[in-house]
Amino acid sequence: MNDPKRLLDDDGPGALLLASARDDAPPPGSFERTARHLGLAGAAFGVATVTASSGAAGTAAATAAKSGAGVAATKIGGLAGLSLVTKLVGLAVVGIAVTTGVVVATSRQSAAPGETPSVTTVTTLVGTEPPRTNAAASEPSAASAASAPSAPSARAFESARTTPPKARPSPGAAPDAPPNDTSRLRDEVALLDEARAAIASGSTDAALAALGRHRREHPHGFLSSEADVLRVEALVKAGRMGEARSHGEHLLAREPNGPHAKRLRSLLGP
Amino acid sequence: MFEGAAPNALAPAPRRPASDARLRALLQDHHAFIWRQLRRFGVPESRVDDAAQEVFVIASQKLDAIREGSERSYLFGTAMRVASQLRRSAAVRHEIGCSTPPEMEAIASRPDELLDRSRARALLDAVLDSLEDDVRAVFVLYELERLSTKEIADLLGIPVGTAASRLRRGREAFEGKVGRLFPQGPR
Repeated sequence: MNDPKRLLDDDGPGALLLASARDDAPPPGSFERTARHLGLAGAAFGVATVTASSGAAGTAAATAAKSGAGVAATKIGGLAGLSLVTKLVGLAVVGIAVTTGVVVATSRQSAAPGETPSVTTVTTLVGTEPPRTNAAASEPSAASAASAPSAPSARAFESARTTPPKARPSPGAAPDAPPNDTSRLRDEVALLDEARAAIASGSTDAALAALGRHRREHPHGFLSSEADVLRVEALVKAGRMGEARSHGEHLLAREPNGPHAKRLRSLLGP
Repeated sequence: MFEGAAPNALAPAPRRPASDARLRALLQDHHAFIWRQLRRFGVPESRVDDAAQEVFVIASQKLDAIREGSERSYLFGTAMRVASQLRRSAAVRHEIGCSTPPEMEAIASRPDELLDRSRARALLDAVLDSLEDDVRAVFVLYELERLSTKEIADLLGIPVGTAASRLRRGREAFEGKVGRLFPQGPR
Protein backbone atom coordinates (compact mmCIF):
# COMPACT_ATOMS: atom_id res chain seq x y z
CA MET A 1 0.00 0.00 0.00
CA ASN A 2 1.30 3.42 -0.92
CA ASP A 3 1.15 5.95 1.82
CA PRO A 4 0.43 9.51 0.68
CA LYS A 5 3.06 12.22 0.75
CA ARG A 6 3.12 13.81 4.15
CA LEU A 7 1.58 17.26 4.47
CA LEU A 8 4.66 18.37 6.33
CA ASP A 9 6.67 17.80 3.17
CA ASP A 10 4.32 20.01 1.15
CA ASP A 11 4.45 23.75 0.81
CA GLY A 12 0.88 24.37 1.87
CA PRO A 13 -0.30 26.28 4.92
CA GLY A 14 -0.86 22.97 6.69
CA ALA A 15 2.87 22.35 6.56
CA LEU A 16 3.48 25.61 8.35
CA LEU A 17 1.24 24.58 11.19
CA LEU A 18 2.57 21.04 11.37
CA ALA A 19 6.14 22.30 11.36
CA SER A 20 5.43 24.13 14.59
CA ALA A 21 5.19 20.74 16.31
CA ARG A 22 8.29 19.30 14.78
CA ASP A 23 10.50 20.23 17.68
CA ASP A 24 8.21 18.87 20.36
CA ALA A 25 10.44 17.24 22.91
CA PRO A 26 10.60 16.79 26.64
CA PRO A 27 12.37 19.66 28.34
CA PRO A 28 15.71 19.02 30.01
CA GLY A 29 15.28 17.02 33.18
CA SER A 30 11.85 15.69 32.25
CA PHE A 31 13.09 12.15 31.84
CA GLU A 32 14.97 12.25 35.13
CA ARG A 33 11.98 13.69 36.96
CA THR A 34 9.77 10.89 35.70
CA ALA A 35 12.40 8.32 36.66
CA ARG A 36 12.57 9.76 40.15
CA HIS A 37 8.79 9.80 40.43
CA LEU A 38 8.77 6.12 39.55
CA GLY A 39 11.33 5.38 42.22
CA LEU A 40 14.02 4.73 39.65
CA ALA A 41 16.19 7.61 40.77
CA GLY A 42 19.83 6.83 40.55
CA ALA A 43 19.09 3.72 38.59
CA ALA A 44 21.34 2.85 35.74
CA PHE A 45 20.11 3.66 32.30
CA GLY A 46 21.85 1.85 29.54
CA VAL A 47 22.33 5.07 27.67
CA ALA A 48 25.14 6.23 29.88
CA THR A 49 28.41 5.02 28.55
CA VAL A 50 30.44 5.42 31.64
CA THR A 51 30.00 4.49 35.22
CA ALA A 52 31.54 6.85 37.67
CA SER A 53 33.30 5.51 40.69
CA SER A 54 34.19 8.97 41.89
CA GLY A 55 33.58 12.51 40.83
CA ALA A 56 37.18 12.96 39.77
CA ALA A 57 37.25 9.81 37.74
CA GLY A 58 33.93 10.72 36.19
CA THR A 59 35.30 14.03 35.09
CA ALA A 60 38.34 12.30 33.72
CA ALA A 61 36.11 10.11 31.62
CA ALA A 62 34.12 13.04 30.34
CA THR A 63 37.33 14.85 29.56
CA ALA A 64 38.57 11.85 27.68
CA ALA A 65 35.42 11.82 25.59
CA LYS A 66 35.65 15.53 24.85
CA SER A 67 39.32 15.37 24.01
CA GLY A 68 38.63 13.11 21.11
CA ALA A 69 40.68 10.41 22.67
CA GLY A 70 37.26 9.53 23.98
CA VAL A 71 36.54 5.93 23.99
CA ALA A 72 39.46 4.53 22.09
CA ALA A 73 38.25 3.11 18.85
CA THR A 74 39.91 -0.19 19.39
CA LYS A 75 38.52 -2.60 16.90
CA ILE A 76 39.65 -6.07 16.24
CA GLY A 77 39.32 -7.73 12.85
CA GLY A 78 35.71 -8.31 11.99
CA LEU A 79 34.58 -6.08 14.79
CA ALA A 80 32.98 -3.43 12.63
CA GLY A 81 30.12 -1.98 14.52
CA LEU A 82 31.25 -3.14 17.89
CA SER A 83 32.54 -0.24 19.84
CA LEU A 84 33.82 0.09 23.30
CA VAL A 85 32.20 0.36 26.59
CA THR A 86 33.83 2.46 29.18
CA LYS A 87 33.82 1.45 32.74
CA LEU A 88 35.60 3.08 35.58
CA VAL A 89 37.31 0.55 37.70
CA GLY A 90 38.70 2.08 40.81
CA LEU A 91 40.84 4.91 39.60
CA ALA A 92 41.21 3.81 36.03
CA VAL A 93 38.77 4.26 33.21
CA VAL A 94 38.75 0.94 31.47
CA GLY A 95 37.45 0.70 27.97
CA ILE A 96 36.61 -2.80 26.99
CA ALA A 97 36.22 -4.04 23.46
CA VAL A 98 34.97 -7.50 23.19
CA THR A 99 35.18 -10.02 20.45
CA THR A 100 34.83 -13.75 20.56
CA GLY A 101 36.56 -14.69 23.75
CA VAL A 102 38.89 -11.72 23.80
CA VAL A 103 38.75 -8.62 25.87
CA VAL A 104 40.91 -5.64 25.15
CA ALA A 105 41.08 -3.43 28.14
CA THR A 106 42.15 0.14 27.62
CA SER A 107 43.16 1.87 30.77
CA ARG A 108 43.32 5.58 31.14
CA GLN A 109 44.61 7.62 33.95
CA SER A 110 43.97 11.29 34.25
CA ALA A 111 46.07 13.53 36.41
CA ALA A 112 43.26 15.97 36.93
CA PRO A 113 40.09 17.17 35.29
CA GLY A 114 40.89 19.02 32.12
CA GLU A 115 43.96 17.05 31.21
CA THR A 116 44.02 14.57 28.41
CA PRO A 117 44.45 11.18 29.94
CA SER A 118 47.11 8.80 28.85
CA VAL A 119 45.94 5.68 27.13
CA THR A 120 47.45 2.25 27.27
CA THR A 121 46.11 -1.04 26.18
CA VAL A 122 46.18 -4.46 27.72
CA THR A 123 44.85 -7.52 25.99
CA THR A 124 43.68 -10.52 27.87
CA LEU A 125 41.54 -13.54 27.31
CA VAL A 126 38.22 -13.64 29.01
CA GLY A 127 38.18 -16.39 31.53
CA THR A 128 41.88 -16.93 31.60
CA GLU A 129 43.02 -13.71 33.12
CA PRO A 130 41.20 -10.72 34.50
CA PRO A 131 41.61 -7.30 32.92
CA ARG A 132 44.51 -5.50 34.45
CA THR A 133 45.01 -1.89 35.17
CA ASN A 134 48.12 -0.39 33.72
CA ALA A 135 51.17 -0.25 35.93
CA ALA A 136 51.16 3.51 35.55
CA ALA A 137 48.09 3.56 37.73
CA SER A 138 50.39 3.88 40.66
CA GLU A 139 51.72 7.20 39.40
CA PRO A 140 51.20 10.08 41.77
CA SER A 141 49.01 11.84 39.25
CA ALA A 142 46.47 9.07 39.38
CA ALA A 143 46.61 9.10 43.13
CA SER A 144 45.96 12.81 43.19
CA ALA A 145 42.95 12.35 40.96
CA ALA A 146 41.67 9.83 43.42
CA SER A 147 42.08 12.23 46.27
CA ALA A 148 39.83 14.81 44.65
CA PRO A 149 36.41 13.33 45.28
CA SER A 150 34.68 16.67 45.07
CA ALA A 151 35.74 17.42 41.52
CA PRO A 152 32.83 18.74 39.47
CA SER A 153 30.75 16.10 37.81
CA ALA A 154 30.15 16.12 34.12
CA ARG A 155 26.61 16.30 32.77
CA ALA A 156 26.81 12.65 31.88
CA PHE A 157 26.87 11.86 35.53
CA GLU A 158 24.02 14.00 36.70
CA SER A 159 21.91 10.92 36.94
CA ALA A 160 24.90 8.92 37.99
CA ARG A 161 24.52 5.25 38.43
CA THR A 162 24.52 4.12 41.97
CA THR A 163 25.91 0.76 41.05
CA PRO A 164 28.67 0.14 43.51
CA PRO A 165 31.94 0.61 41.65
CA LYS A 166 33.94 -2.49 41.17
CA ALA A 167 36.76 -0.79 42.93
CA ARG A 168 40.28 -2.01 43.12
CA PRO A 169 41.82 -1.78 46.57
CA SER A 170 44.64 0.46 45.44
CA PRO A 171 45.77 1.91 42.15
CA GLY A 172 48.95 -0.08 41.88
CA ALA A 173 47.75 -3.39 43.15
CA ALA A 174 46.49 -4.76 39.82
CA PRO A 175 43.95 -6.80 41.73
CA ASP A 176 41.57 -9.29 40.26
CA ALA A 177 38.10 -8.37 39.14
CA PRO A 178 35.40 -10.28 40.98
CA PRO A 179 35.14 -13.67 39.30
CA ASN A 180 31.49 -13.20 38.44
CA ASP A 181 32.34 -10.08 36.47
CA THR A 182 34.08 -12.23 33.93
CA SER A 183 31.20 -14.63 33.60
CA ARG A 184 28.73 -11.78 33.40
CA LEU A 185 30.78 -10.20 30.70
CA ARG A 186 30.96 -13.47 28.84
CA ASP A 187 27.18 -13.77 29.05
CA GLU A 188 26.78 -10.27 27.74
CA VAL A 189 29.14 -10.90 24.87
CA ALA A 190 27.23 -14.05 23.96
CA LEU A 191 23.91 -12.21 23.92
CA LEU A 192 25.26 -9.34 21.87
CA ASP A 193 26.97 -11.72 19.48
CA GLU A 194 23.66 -13.52 19.10
CA ALA A 195 21.89 -10.23 18.44
CA ARG A 196 24.52 -9.11 15.96
CA ALA A 197 24.40 -12.41 14.06
CA ALA A 198 20.61 -12.26 13.98
CA ILE A 199 20.69 -8.72 12.59
CA ALA A 200 23.18 -9.81 9.95
CA SER A 201 20.94 -12.65 8.88
CA GLY A 202 17.85 -10.46 8.89
CA SER A 203 16.25 -12.14 11.91
CA THR A 204 15.43 -8.91 13.62
CA ASP A 205 12.87 -10.44 15.96
CA ALA A 206 15.50 -12.83 17.26
CA ALA A 207 17.93 -9.93 17.60
CA LEU A 208 15.44 -7.89 19.60
CA ALA A 209 14.68 -10.91 21.76
CA ALA A 210 18.38 -11.37 22.54
CA LEU A 211 18.72 -7.67 23.31
CA GLY A 212 15.66 -7.86 25.54
CA ARG A 213 17.27 -10.73 27.42
CA HIS A 214 20.45 -8.71 27.73
CA ARG A 215 18.57 -5.81 29.24
CA ARG A 216 16.64 -7.97 31.68
CA GLU A 217 19.62 -10.00 32.76
CA HIS A 218 22.21 -7.23 32.70
CA PRO A 219 20.42 -3.98 33.43
CA HIS A 220 23.71 -2.50 34.64
CA GLY A 221 25.74 -4.32 32.04
CA PHE A 222 29.18 -3.56 30.75
CA LEU A 223 27.79 -3.54 27.24
CA SER A 224 24.49 -1.76 27.77
CA SER A 225 25.32 1.10 25.46
CA GLU A 226 26.31 -1.32 22.70
CA ALA A 227 23.06 -3.15 23.24
CA ASP A 228 21.16 0.12 22.88
CA VAL A 229 22.78 0.88 19.57
CA LEU A 230 22.18 -2.65 18.32
CA ARG A 231 18.53 -2.27 19.28
CA VAL A 232 18.26 0.81 17.10
CA GLU A 233 19.99 -1.05 14.29
CA ALA A 234 17.61 -4.01 14.62
CA LEU A 235 14.58 -1.72 14.63
CA VAL A 236 15.83 0.08 11.53
CA LYS A 237 16.42 -3.20 9.78
CA ALA A 238 12.97 -4.41 10.82
CA GLY A 239 11.46 -1.33 9.21
CA ARG A 240 10.21 -0.11 12.58
CA MET A 241 11.52 3.36 11.89
CA GLY A 242 9.23 5.13 14.30
CA GLU A 243 10.53 3.12 17.23
CA ALA A 244 14.10 3.28 15.96
CA ARG A 245 13.89 7.04 15.71
CA SER A 246 12.29 7.39 19.11
CA HIS A 247 14.87 5.18 20.79
CA GLY A 248 17.81 6.59 18.85
CA GLU A 249 16.83 10.19 19.43
CA HIS A 250 16.52 9.49 23.11
CA LEU A 251 20.03 8.07 23.16
CA LEU A 252 21.36 11.03 21.20
CA ALA A 253 19.59 13.50 23.46
CA ARG A 254 21.34 12.02 26.45
CA GLU A 255 24.72 11.61 24.82
CA PRO A 256 24.83 13.95 21.82
CA ASN A 257 28.61 13.67 21.59
CA GLY A 258 28.91 10.16 22.94
CA PRO A 259 30.94 7.43 21.34
CA HIS A 260 27.88 6.06 19.57
CA ALA A 261 26.47 9.35 18.34
CA LYS A 262 27.92 9.15 14.85
CA ARG A 263 26.73 5.61 14.33
CA LEU A 264 23.28 6.41 15.66
CA ARG A 265 22.94 9.39 13.34
CA SER A 266 24.05 7.24 10.46
CA LEU A 267 21.46 4.60 11.37
CA LEU A 268 18.65 7.11 11.72
CA GLY A 269 19.49 8.96 8.54
CA PRO A 270 18.75 12.62 7.82
CA MET B 1 -10.15 4.37 36.36
CA PHE B 2 -8.67 7.81 36.11
CA GLU B 3 -11.93 9.70 36.17
CA GLY B 4 -11.44 12.69 38.38
CA ALA B 5 -7.88 11.75 39.20
CA ALA B 6 -5.43 14.59 39.14
CA PRO B 7 -2.09 14.02 37.47
CA ASN B 8 0.33 12.40 39.87
CA ALA B 9 -2.52 11.23 42.05
CA LEU B 10 -1.24 7.75 41.44
CA ALA B 11 1.81 6.79 43.38
CA PRO B 12 4.25 4.15 42.24
CA ALA B 13 3.81 0.88 44.07
CA PRO B 14 6.66 -1.24 45.43
CA ARG B 15 8.11 -3.45 42.72
CA ARG B 16 10.35 -6.44 42.27
CA PRO B 17 13.85 -5.81 40.88
CA ALA B 18 12.93 -7.51 37.61
CA SER B 19 9.97 -5.17 37.30
CA ASP B 20 12.27 -2.25 37.96
CA ALA B 21 14.44 -3.32 35.05
CA ARG B 22 11.45 -3.59 32.76
CA LEU B 23 10.02 -0.27 33.86
CA ARG B 24 13.40 1.34 33.36
CA ALA B 25 13.49 -0.06 29.84
CA LEU B 26 9.95 1.20 29.16
CA LEU B 27 10.86 4.65 30.30
CA GLN B 28 14.09 4.74 28.37
CA ASP B 29 12.54 3.55 25.14
CA HIS B 30 9.28 5.42 25.19
CA HIS B 31 9.41 8.49 27.40
CA ALA B 32 10.18 10.98 24.63
CA PHE B 33 7.61 9.36 22.33
CA ILE B 34 4.88 9.43 24.95
CA TRP B 35 5.74 13.00 25.90
CA ARG B 36 5.30 14.11 22.28
CA GLN B 37 2.01 12.28 21.86
CA LEU B 38 0.57 13.80 25.03
CA ARG B 39 1.49 17.25 23.75
CA ARG B 40 -0.09 16.49 20.39
CA PHE B 41 -3.16 15.17 22.09
CA GLY B 42 -3.82 18.61 23.46
CA VAL B 43 -2.11 18.52 26.83
CA PRO B 44 -0.70 22.00 27.45
CA GLU B 45 3.07 22.05 27.51
CA SER B 46 3.10 23.00 31.18
CA ARG B 47 1.19 19.84 32.05
CA VAL B 48 2.87 17.29 29.81
CA ASP B 49 5.50 16.24 32.33
CA ASP B 50 2.82 15.45 34.89
CA ALA B 51 0.76 13.60 32.33
CA ALA B 52 3.77 11.55 31.21
CA GLN B 53 4.47 10.64 34.80
CA GLU B 54 0.91 9.48 35.18
CA VAL B 55 1.17 7.31 32.08
CA PHE B 56 4.28 5.57 33.39
CA VAL B 57 2.89 5.20 36.89
CA ILE B 58 -0.15 3.46 35.41
CA ALA B 59 2.16 1.26 33.35
CA SER B 60 4.21 0.46 36.46
CA GLN B 61 1.09 -0.86 38.12
CA LYS B 62 0.18 -3.00 35.13
CA LEU B 63 3.61 -4.27 34.20
CA ASP B 64 2.70 -7.92 34.56
CA ALA B 65 -0.27 -7.48 32.27
CA ILE B 66 1.64 -5.71 29.52
CA ARG B 67 2.65 -8.26 26.90
CA GLU B 68 6.24 -8.31 25.81
CA GLY B 69 6.46 -6.46 22.52
CA SER B 70 3.25 -4.51 23.04
CA GLU B 71 4.64 -1.99 25.50
CA ARG B 72 4.47 0.90 23.09
CA SER B 73 0.87 0.14 22.19
CA TYR B 74 -0.07 -0.02 25.82
CA LEU B 75 1.67 3.24 26.65
CA PHE B 76 0.17 5.00 23.64
CA GLY B 77 -3.34 3.89 24.54
CA THR B 78 -2.81 4.97 28.11
CA ALA B 79 -1.45 8.34 26.97
CA MET B 80 -4.52 8.88 24.82
CA ARG B 81 -6.80 8.22 27.77
CA VAL B 82 -4.79 10.40 30.15
CA ALA B 83 -4.75 13.24 27.61
CA SER B 84 -8.45 12.88 26.96
CA GLN B 85 -9.20 13.05 30.66
CA LEU B 86 -7.00 16.08 31.10
CA ARG B 87 -8.67 17.87 28.22
CA ARG B 88 -12.01 17.25 29.82
CA SER B 89 -11.02 18.60 33.19
CA ALA B 90 -12.25 22.09 33.91
CA ALA B 91 -8.82 23.37 34.85
CA VAL B 92 -7.26 22.37 31.62
CA ARG B 93 -10.23 23.54 29.58
CA HIS B 94 -9.41 26.95 30.95
CA GLU B 95 -5.75 26.60 29.85
CA ILE B 96 -6.77 25.38 26.44
CA GLY B 97 -9.19 28.27 26.17
CA CYS B 98 -6.54 30.36 24.46
CA SER B 99 -6.95 28.29 21.33
CA THR B 100 -10.71 27.91 21.09
CA PRO B 101 -12.14 28.48 17.63
CA PRO B 102 -13.00 32.21 17.91
CA GLU B 103 -9.48 32.97 19.00
CA MET B 104 -8.19 30.70 16.29
CA GLU B 105 -9.99 32.80 13.73
CA ALA B 106 -8.42 35.89 15.22
CA ILE B 107 -4.96 34.41 15.04
CA ALA B 108 -5.53 33.31 11.48
CA SER B 109 -6.67 36.79 10.55
CA ARG B 110 -3.13 38.00 11.19
CA PRO B 111 -1.23 35.64 8.93
CA ASP B 112 1.87 37.79 9.01
CA GLU B 113 2.23 36.83 12.64
CA LEU B 114 1.96 33.15 11.91
CA LEU B 115 5.66 32.94 11.49
CA ASP B 116 5.70 33.15 15.23
CA ARG B 117 6.03 29.51 16.15
CA SER B 118 3.96 29.72 19.29
CA ARG B 119 1.05 31.19 17.37
CA ALA B 120 1.32 28.54 14.72
CA ARG B 121 1.45 25.97 17.44
CA ALA B 122 -1.67 27.29 19.16
CA LEU B 123 -3.45 27.16 15.85
CA LEU B 124 -2.28 23.61 15.21
CA ASP B 125 -3.54 22.56 18.63
CA ALA B 126 -6.90 24.05 17.83
CA VAL B 127 -7.14 22.35 14.46
CA LEU B 128 -6.11 19.01 15.98
CA ASP B 129 -8.71 19.49 18.72
CA SER B 130 -11.34 19.58 16.03
CA LEU B 131 -10.51 16.01 14.97
CA GLU B 132 -12.08 12.95 16.53
CA ASP B 133 -9.67 11.17 18.87
CA ASP B 134 -9.18 8.04 16.79
CA VAL B 135 -8.66 10.10 13.65
CA ARG B 136 -6.35 12.47 15.46
CA ALA B 137 -4.20 9.58 16.68
CA VAL B 138 -3.61 8.26 13.18
CA PHE B 139 -3.13 11.74 11.72
CA VAL B 140 -0.52 12.71 14.32
CA LEU B 141 1.35 9.42 14.09
CA TYR B 142 1.50 9.66 10.33
CA GLU B 143 2.10 13.35 9.75
CA LEU B 144 4.27 14.19 12.72
CA GLU B 145 5.80 10.90 13.88
CA ARG B 146 6.22 9.77 10.27
CA LEU B 147 5.05 6.26 11.02
CA SER B 148 3.72 4.30 8.07
CA THR B 149 0.07 3.24 8.03
CA LYS B 150 1.28 -0.32 8.64
CA GLU B 151 3.23 0.77 11.72
CA ILE B 152 0.23 2.75 12.93
CA ALA B 153 -2.08 -0.22 12.41
CA ASP B 154 0.28 -2.41 14.44
CA LEU B 155 0.56 0.17 17.18
CA LEU B 156 -3.17 0.71 17.51
CA GLY B 157 -4.13 -2.90 16.88
CA ILE B 158 -6.37 -2.03 13.95
CA PRO B 159 -6.42 -3.21 10.33
CA VAL B 160 -4.21 -1.30 7.91
CA GLY B 161 -7.28 -0.35 5.90
CA THR B 162 -8.83 1.25 8.96
CA ALA B 163 -5.63 3.19 9.64
CA ALA B 164 -5.56 4.38 6.02
CA SER B 165 -9.20 5.37 6.18
CA ARG B 166 -8.73 7.33 9.42
CA LEU B 167 -5.70 9.02 7.92
CA ARG B 168 -7.71 10.03 4.90
CA ARG B 169 -10.47 11.46 7.09
CA GLY B 170 -7.91 13.25 9.22
CA ARG B 171 -6.17 14.80 6.24
CA GLU B 172 -9.44 15.93 4.70
CA ALA B 173 -10.59 17.51 7.93
CA PHE B 174 -7.23 19.12 8.57
CA GLU B 175 -6.86 20.53 5.08
CA GLY B 176 -10.47 21.67 5.05
CA LYS B 177 -9.99 23.54 8.30
CA VAL B 178 -6.68 25.06 7.25
CA GLY B 179 -8.13 25.98 3.84
CA ARG B 180 -10.97 27.86 5.50
CA LEU B 181 -8.57 29.63 7.83
CA PHE B 182 -6.20 30.66 5.05
CA PRO B 183 -8.15 31.04 1.84
CA GLN B 184 -5.16 32.88 0.40
CA GLY B 185 -2.57 30.90 2.31
CA PRO B 186 -0.46 32.43 5.07
CA ARG B 187 1.93 35.09 3.93
